[in-house]
Amino acid sequence: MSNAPPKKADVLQGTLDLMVLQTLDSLGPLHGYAIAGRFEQVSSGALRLNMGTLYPALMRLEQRGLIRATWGTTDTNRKARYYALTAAGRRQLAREKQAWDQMAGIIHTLLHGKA
Amino acid sequence: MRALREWLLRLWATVGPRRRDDDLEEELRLHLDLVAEDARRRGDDPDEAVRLARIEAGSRAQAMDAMRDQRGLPWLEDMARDLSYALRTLRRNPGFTATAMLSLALGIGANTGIFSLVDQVLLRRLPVSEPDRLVLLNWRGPSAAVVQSGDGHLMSYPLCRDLQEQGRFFDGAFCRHPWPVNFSAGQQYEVVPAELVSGSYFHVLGIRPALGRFINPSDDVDVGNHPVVVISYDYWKNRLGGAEDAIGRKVLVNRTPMTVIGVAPAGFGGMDVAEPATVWIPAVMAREATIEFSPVLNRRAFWMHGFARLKPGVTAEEATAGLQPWFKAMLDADTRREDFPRVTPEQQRAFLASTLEALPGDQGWSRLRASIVRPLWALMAGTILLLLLACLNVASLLLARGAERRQELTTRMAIGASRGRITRQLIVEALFIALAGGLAGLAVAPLVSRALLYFMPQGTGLAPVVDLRIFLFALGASLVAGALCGLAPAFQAGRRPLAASITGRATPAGADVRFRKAIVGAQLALTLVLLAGAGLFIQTLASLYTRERGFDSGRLVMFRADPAGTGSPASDAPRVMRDLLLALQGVPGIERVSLANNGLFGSLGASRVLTIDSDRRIVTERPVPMLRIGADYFSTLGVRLIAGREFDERDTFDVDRTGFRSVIVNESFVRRYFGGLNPVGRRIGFGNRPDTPLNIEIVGVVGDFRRRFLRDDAEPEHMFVPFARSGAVAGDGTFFVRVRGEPEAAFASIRAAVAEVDPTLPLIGLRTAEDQVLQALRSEVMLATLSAGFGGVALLLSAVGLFGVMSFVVTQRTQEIGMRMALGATRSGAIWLIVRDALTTIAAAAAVGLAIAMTVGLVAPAWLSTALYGVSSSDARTFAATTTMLAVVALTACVIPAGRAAALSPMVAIREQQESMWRAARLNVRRAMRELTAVSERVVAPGTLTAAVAAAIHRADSFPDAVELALATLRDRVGARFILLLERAGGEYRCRECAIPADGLLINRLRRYPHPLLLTAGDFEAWGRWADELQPTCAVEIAQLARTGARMAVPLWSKQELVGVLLLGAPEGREAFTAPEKELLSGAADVFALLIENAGLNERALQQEKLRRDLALAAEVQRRLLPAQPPRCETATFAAFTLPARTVGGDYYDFLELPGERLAIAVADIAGKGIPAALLMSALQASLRVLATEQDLSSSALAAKMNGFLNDSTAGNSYATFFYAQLDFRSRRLRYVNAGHNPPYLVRRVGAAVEIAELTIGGTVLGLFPHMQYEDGHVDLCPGDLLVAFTDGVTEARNDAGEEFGEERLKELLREVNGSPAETISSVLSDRVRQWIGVAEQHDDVTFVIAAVR
Repeated sequence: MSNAPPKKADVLQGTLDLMVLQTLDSLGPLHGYAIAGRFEQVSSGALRLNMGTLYPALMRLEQRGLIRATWGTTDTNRKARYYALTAAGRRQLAREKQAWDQMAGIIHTLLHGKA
Repeated sequence: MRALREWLLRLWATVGPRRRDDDLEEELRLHLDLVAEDARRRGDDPDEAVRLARIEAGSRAQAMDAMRDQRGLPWLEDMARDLSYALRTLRRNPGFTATAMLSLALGIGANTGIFSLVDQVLLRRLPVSEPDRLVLLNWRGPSAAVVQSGDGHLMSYPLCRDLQEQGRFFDGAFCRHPWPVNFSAGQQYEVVPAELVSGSYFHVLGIRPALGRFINPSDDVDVGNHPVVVISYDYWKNRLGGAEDAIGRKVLVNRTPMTVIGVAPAGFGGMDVAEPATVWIPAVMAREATIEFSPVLNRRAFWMHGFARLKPGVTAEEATAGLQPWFKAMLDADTRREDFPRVTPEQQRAFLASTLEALPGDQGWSRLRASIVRPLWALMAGTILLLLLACLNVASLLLARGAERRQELTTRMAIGASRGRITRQLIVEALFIALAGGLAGLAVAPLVSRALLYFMPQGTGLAPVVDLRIFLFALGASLVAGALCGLAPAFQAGRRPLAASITGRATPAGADVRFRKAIVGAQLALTLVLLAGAGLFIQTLASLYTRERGFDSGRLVMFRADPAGTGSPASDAPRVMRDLLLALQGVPGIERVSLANNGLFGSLGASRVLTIDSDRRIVTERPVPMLRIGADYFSTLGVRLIAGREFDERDTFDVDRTGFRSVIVNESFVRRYFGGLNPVGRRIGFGNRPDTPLNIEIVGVVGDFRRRFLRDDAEPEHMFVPFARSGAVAGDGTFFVRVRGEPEAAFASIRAAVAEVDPTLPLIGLRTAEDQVLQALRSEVMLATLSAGFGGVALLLSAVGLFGVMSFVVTQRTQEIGMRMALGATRSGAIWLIVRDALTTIAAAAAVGLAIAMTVGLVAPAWLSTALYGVSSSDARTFAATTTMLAVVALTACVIPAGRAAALSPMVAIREQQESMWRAARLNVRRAMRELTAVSERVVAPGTLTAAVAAAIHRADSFPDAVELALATLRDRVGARFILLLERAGGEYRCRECAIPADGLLINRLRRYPHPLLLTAGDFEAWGRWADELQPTCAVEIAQLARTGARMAVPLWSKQELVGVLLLGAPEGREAFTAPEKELLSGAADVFALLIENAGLNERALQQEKLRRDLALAAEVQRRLLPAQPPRCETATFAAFTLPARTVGGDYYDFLELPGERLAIAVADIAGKGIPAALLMSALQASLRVLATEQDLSSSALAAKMNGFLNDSTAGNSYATFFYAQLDFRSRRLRYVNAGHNPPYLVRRVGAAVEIAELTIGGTVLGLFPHMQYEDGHVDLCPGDLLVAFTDGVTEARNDAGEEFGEERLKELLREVNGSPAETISSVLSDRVRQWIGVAEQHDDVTFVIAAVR
């Protein structure tokens, strides 16, 4: 690994949904900015989501019934839209997680030989 | 599953309630606010943080778009929007919409109506299992038939039974014979179509009965022994009420009791789609079903159509080939049969060479189909042309409207609609029109079908139905038509440059007119093709109708009577017929009466092979059709009796157990079998056995007459036998009545006479023979009528199209026409101008149309010639007549527009044009405003500030108005104390109250941060302090801003350009605006920016347009005022040349012939440009022409008078330099006056040298000062002298390097060319000046006049 600063990571196609679901699962209901902040935090600033990517994705997950949104207020008393995982979302997360692990294992083996 | 849920939700969001835009916006705003908050916490500048957040998190607008796209289904929304937009536009133009829809409704309706019948007759397959595998078996070659009944594809019943054994290729075979029977199921008799079928029929077809069972092979064994019938579903439903106990019921078929055993499935009507059967009867019951036909098992009786079902995988070709060995063997065996006719060896060989072929049988067999297939396709082709024409019409209408809508479309493009979007919009519109037209067309279609059916025989199973197939056809036709219609305007919209079209007039509409003319031309060409076709069909009809028929159809009435059909005992029939004859003979007003077993132009009836006692005993080569006739038949019909006699009572009703005793034959018969010799007294016999008794005597010969088709070249041999015969079971017959006076008038007395004999007896088909002839010609009448109808509609459509285009042309050329009339063109000249314009289109269209018609006529003569009669498919006379007709109608269509052109008063024309230009501009503004509103309504949620502003604009009449209204609305809504709009002008942004530099503090601030900026009094103070210290240049600006008291500055951005700034005063009752208010304003800012930009564009374009028009008008005036060519005389040669600059100057020259052998030469240069200069020039010309002819007016006096006149006309605002000379040919004296003009040169050779004198005497320019005096100059000219007068455009012509041509260069040149004729000098001079100017811009007109003295 080089010492170059982490480059702005592109969101792998299809992984955004998984990331959102996992974030909501582990941290509970969050608003959009907090979700983006969490991504930025875990990627050490490498993953900064465009609003035009994040919010349509949230809307899509909502339309698919995987998350539910309600208007609430932040600690600073601002109106905000909070997203929470639904039961279906939890099931979906479990499935995708398993699929991801499996895939990641395969890729890892492929790239680095026997794990 | 999840994806489906998502899709459904999105669909729901598209059509139903959904998250509102401000809800989405709120979420994004929170995101940005939190970014800024975080930044503040970190200690960054919050504004800077927001800016960074924006860069990082993407623009809010973009995110909004992405969310909106995810929220619903964008393409569906777009589509819905396009559609609702199309609806609105169409509703706004009801006239256009109605015309377009009507055109297409006609086109699609005609197509659908005809297709409905094409489908039923030609395309549909039998509703049986796997119709593909059905084949029709056709005997090719002489059949050695002794009896033949019907025509086409016939075979005998025993052969059909043989075929059923051919299991190698077939899964079974069957045969059928169509025949009408008298049928009764308890109530009264009616004649219904029946099919006599072999027992295998239903099984091979593979269909199931709706009730009971079908006829099966066991019902088809013993002749006359299986009295069972299957009835059709419709009969069962309608006549028997769908009774379950219908099975087992007794019915009467021709008075023979039979039992119903089954009901056919719904929709099944037997093998002839055009003549569906009601009853199916076993073939072995033929004698009972057909009354007189008995030889069912006779191998020589050819009367049935044979079908077979191919085994899976076997093709028709394989079956044809594979069957031949068996068929040959069958033929061979047949010749050895005892009853095989005696034939010559050649005949036998031909018989043995016969083959049996399997033809596609999936559509069954139909006589109607064979006779109608070509007329139907011809009509279909005609209607397709018609539809094409309707499409062109609509395209043309759309184009015309496209020209009107250009402003609207351009505005839409300016505010961001892509070209593709506009194109799609136009196509959606066209598609919508087409679909609506198609829907209306579905209503029209049955009418067309009905019209077509009117010309077809009665009692076919065809109906003007609209079912799913027809609906799909209409839908397809509409879609194709819509696409065709929409393409042209879409293409037109796509290629139009944006700025050029904002006024709707800026580009010459020449391309439009050409496009529309091309469309109308295509319409006219298609129309000509249709008309030519109609002409050919009408000619055909006329030829056939007027053709010699061999009988006299005038005053001849006919009807059929069928006593057995009413249920009276069959044995009574002959008596009834005889009574009828006698009763009719007794009616006054009836000349003669006779009867026959067949009418005219129908079935020929049965045919028989004969043995004839000619010079030797011969057998006819083919069965001879036989007609049973009563006494006086030929004299009643008016057929020529050539030899012998007619039948009389002795022959007809003298019952003789040995059969016929006498026969009459026709001319063809005599020609063929008696070599033209008189056969009266010779004998013949029925049959061809060696022992056939020759017991019938030929008693007469009659002339050939058309019994069957009027088209037939030669009538075949016929024989006529007496009507009655021994053992006749029953007899129906056709009565022929020759009346005195009007035939229709005799109907009543005929009815009365018949009623007297039997009041219940119906007269079937009572009509005149003339009607019968027309019936026989119905397919020709149909073709002629419908094609003429289509031609008429086409003619109407294209006349309307041409009218539209020519009206457009007149509107476009109003200015030019007015100009021409002002300059002396006559009314007829104006008419001719328009008519000539139209004529070129018409001529081109006629040429193309004729070429197409000729090509079709020449390429497809075989096809066409079968449909035509007595006229060639490329008949020059027909084409000439139709072309003339087209031309006359087309020219008539131009008369009104041309008349309007002629009625123009010149001044009105010119004025109106200007007026209409402004009116158009006003309209354009209104439309643009509406459009702007409509667009913003779509983008902006209702009730918002932006929507309010946009709505306000809607009321505006001009752009300044719109801005005014928008500002007022905005001020009211936000409650600001005032509002200022600073627009960019040069290096400043300014309004009436203040101006700030474009590179100043505020503008730079707004450039860097492109959002509304809140201002406070404190800000101004701080800025002022900062400016005083560091940037004194900004102090003025800041002071000015502070003075206005603005509390918010809103930048107006349009396409990365800051087009203006809004300054808002403090809100009422408060000192500052809030952040949400700031946000609100950024939305409204977009509308303003757009408005300002459009206003600028519109203004510029209008000005350009006005300039262009002025110039065009001026140029036209000038062109007209200059003399066409220089005068000729013996004393001198003259030439003149003028090269106008691109912008109009005002050079003028003239030659005037004066009394007393004098010539005046004038050159003038008028100051100014455009219309004023052109008008001044025309005033100058007019006054000069009046004054010059006044005798004894010296040049100087003339100049003085003209000066006064021009000064009066222009009030000293404009002037002209003027050189005027009078040349006296006799004295060669030149008197001149030079009013401020460049001195003309007089070039004279003196010895070896060439001297150039300048003619300077005169005075100052004309028009500037009143009451000027001028001086006369004069020169006596010598031979060889050269006078050159020119305008300053010559000497001041600049080349690329900016260098002037100059006087010296001119003089040098004149020295060179001195001595040549004026014409030569002129061309050298003009060449040099042109070369000098080269690629440089020409600033002024270049004009000179040359006189070379001889």
